[in-house]
Amino acid sequence: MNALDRRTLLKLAGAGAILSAGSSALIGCSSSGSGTGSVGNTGTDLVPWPTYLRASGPTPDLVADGEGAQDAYFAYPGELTPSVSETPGNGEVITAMIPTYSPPPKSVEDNRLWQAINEALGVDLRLNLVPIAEYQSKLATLMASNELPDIVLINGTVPRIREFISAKCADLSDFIGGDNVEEYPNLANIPTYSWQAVGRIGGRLYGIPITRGRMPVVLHVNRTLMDQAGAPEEWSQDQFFAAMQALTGSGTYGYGAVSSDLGFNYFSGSLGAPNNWKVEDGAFVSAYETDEYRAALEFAREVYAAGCYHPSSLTSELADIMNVYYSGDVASVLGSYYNYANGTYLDRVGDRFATDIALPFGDQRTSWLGGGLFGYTVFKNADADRIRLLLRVCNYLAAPYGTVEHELVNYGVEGEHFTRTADGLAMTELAGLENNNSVPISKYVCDSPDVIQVPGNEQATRRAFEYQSEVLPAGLTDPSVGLSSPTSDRELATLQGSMLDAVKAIVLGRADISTWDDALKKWRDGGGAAIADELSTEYEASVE
Amino acid sequence: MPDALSTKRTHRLRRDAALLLMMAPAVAYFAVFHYGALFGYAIAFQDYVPFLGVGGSTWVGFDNFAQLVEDPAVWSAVVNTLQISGLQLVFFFPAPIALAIFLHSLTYGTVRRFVQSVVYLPHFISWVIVVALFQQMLGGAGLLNTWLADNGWHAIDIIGNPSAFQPLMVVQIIWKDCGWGTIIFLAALYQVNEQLYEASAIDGAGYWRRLWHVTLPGLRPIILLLFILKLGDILSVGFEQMFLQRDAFGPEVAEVLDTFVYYTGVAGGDWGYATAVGLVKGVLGAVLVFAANKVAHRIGEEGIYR
Repeated sequence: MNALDRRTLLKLAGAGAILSAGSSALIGCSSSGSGTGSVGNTGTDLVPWPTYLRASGPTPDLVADGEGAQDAYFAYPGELTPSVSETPGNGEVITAMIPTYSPPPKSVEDNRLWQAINEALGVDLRLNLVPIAEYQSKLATLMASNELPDIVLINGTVPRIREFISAKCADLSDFIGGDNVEEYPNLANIPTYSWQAVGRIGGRLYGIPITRGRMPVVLHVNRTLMDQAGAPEEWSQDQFFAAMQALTGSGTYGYGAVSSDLGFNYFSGSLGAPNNWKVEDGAFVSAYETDEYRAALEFAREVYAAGCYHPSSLTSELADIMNVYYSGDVASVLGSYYNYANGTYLDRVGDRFATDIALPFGDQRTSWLGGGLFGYTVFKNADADRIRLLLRVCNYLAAPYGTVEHELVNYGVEGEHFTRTADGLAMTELAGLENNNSVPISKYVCDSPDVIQVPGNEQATRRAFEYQSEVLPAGLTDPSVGLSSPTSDRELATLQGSMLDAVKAIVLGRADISTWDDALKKWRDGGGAAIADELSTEYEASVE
Repeated sequence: MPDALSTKRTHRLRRDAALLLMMAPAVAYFAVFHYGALFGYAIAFQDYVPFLGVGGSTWVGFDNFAQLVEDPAVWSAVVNTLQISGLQLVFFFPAPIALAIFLHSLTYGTVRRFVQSVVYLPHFISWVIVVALFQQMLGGAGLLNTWLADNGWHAIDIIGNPSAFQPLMVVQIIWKDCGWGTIIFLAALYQVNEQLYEASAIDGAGYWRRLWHVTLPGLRPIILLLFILKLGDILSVGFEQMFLQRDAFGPEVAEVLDTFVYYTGVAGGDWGYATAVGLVKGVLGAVLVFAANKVAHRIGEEGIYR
């Protein structure tokens, strides 16, 4: 009875997901609902941001200048210092839900890295590792389930997340607000801009940032091919287009992207559109509304029509299109700066070609800076002792570069995952399976500020640092990051989804450029205008 | 005569105790997982906030349904769904019948079993793999287009081409599930009385006449049964298949009711509205099943129940 079985299954998968969520809520409905209340900060007493106390560490070879910039090191430090004096836990079980970009690791019983981290933390850390592509849906269902793990990472635009956090998660204000954070020195080493990017809810602090530098998503280019095509490092719009066309043909393509956004931000940033929002005389204006954004739509459409996009861009996630890039079949892909600055992409490309990072094109170019975080972790409501335990665990995991703790949670155990050589750490075969990507405790439960270091490659380290020095000062930040808007909390996920659909339809030539006006109207009427107003009010309230 | 009645009842209860006991798990299953879950539809009448539950969320009456009527996105999804469903009804529904008749006509047992195994196999491959296979074969950088380019021909734009979407969806589902769909028809074919074939052959009926006058009438009740059930399902065309290919082809053609519900509810957080859409879909499906069943009775068939 195939048809019947499939039917049942589909019902479960589709509308039934909603239905079962409803019924589980009925059964497990808690009476503790404290109401959604206001999650804004206007008119509330603002808890001070955790005080920033820079940890002393090894002296960098190139010293960062400016907010969100990172120090660079040519070599791994020979001597490590300890940063945590006591084991955080005493055998407690801690559960955490975090995303992963890797296939599932071996279970803790067979995983030396995981065991070593548990041993060092003094807890039994149990992970629910969710593939990144499904993470937001998983968060949505988790919010409906009423069964929270101790630690949850929040990232991306999740509907009503602030309401959820204020209703169900632990208020950390009294533990880490202002100078209280000094009890957790490695958390105090997280820069203030990352805390601000998490933002406050009702004036209080709930989340611990997974801190990142402010460097944006950048265009990774096959410099070998670019040189052959005569593309300069500083390129105009025409030179960029000429290079893309020259590199397209006989099975290779100029531009590669993921299907979810078609790498559109590179175009809008290059042509000078604001980073999501700009503030004009105190009023928030969406990037969608700007002429630069529309110009970017027209240009990206032209590039697509010229056949420069790799066809897999229509169906790829990042890992897929990066594999195409490594193989040399596409000459440029938009991706994280840090995967260049820590050597990941150089490693994967090997000596097939020279991989480099390119500037945005044109003389109007802006680089859209990151918010300064990957996401943030929140804790399930618990008594003060339990919260302190979780904070001690996070403090351990946030141990900075050059400490004993950082080495353990990121590189593993000496002799098993790496050996020490004159050039730094040499990774073993086991580290290929057990590392901070496959067991991303040190990445997504809590993380330390990154540094720039391409292991064993001083030239690439310098290149990454110079690129940072060039892009950061001129980069644009998103003024809405960390601000609260009730309409945004409810509607932004849906609104962004429809705008992205409209962008893709135009770039791919499925819809005329004139449809952008309809999309804009839908955006404004559907909540975009209200979000702009609310953000303006919050912005005023948050200026201290 | 209440005493006599209750004696009769007790007697029947005792007689059927074993049967009732055997039924109990199934009844419990339906009560809990189907009828119990129906209460979840309450959220269609709420501005539902998952972490507050049904008790804590605000009741909004029929607001969600009013919104549904005015939302062009819903209607676009309805049109897409009906178009794909219609194509499935015309092309995918008869395919297993034809394949079953073909398999049935294979007289050499080993060959039949081999062919059967081969055509069943794709059913067990998940949609993720099926979609990836089609992309690898037909995509812009796929096998077909690489081969065409190598031979100096123009590429054929299939993956990502909105006008190719609907035919591709039907081809995919036929490739994946046609073989599996033959099982029920094969079982029905074996039920057809062999003597009818012999008698009609003696009367001079050729292959096509035997097919028309013996085979198809033998299959008619089961075809009709599945057809009615399919009508009830006309607003569901396969969540996974559409979801996986929505990005490549765009929501203009690939947004169907199931994906709309997902994007609005799970991804967009508007649970109440999404549930309202799901509820309307369910009610329409039920109405279609009842209506089709009535029609079946009118034309003298059993339908799915009396």
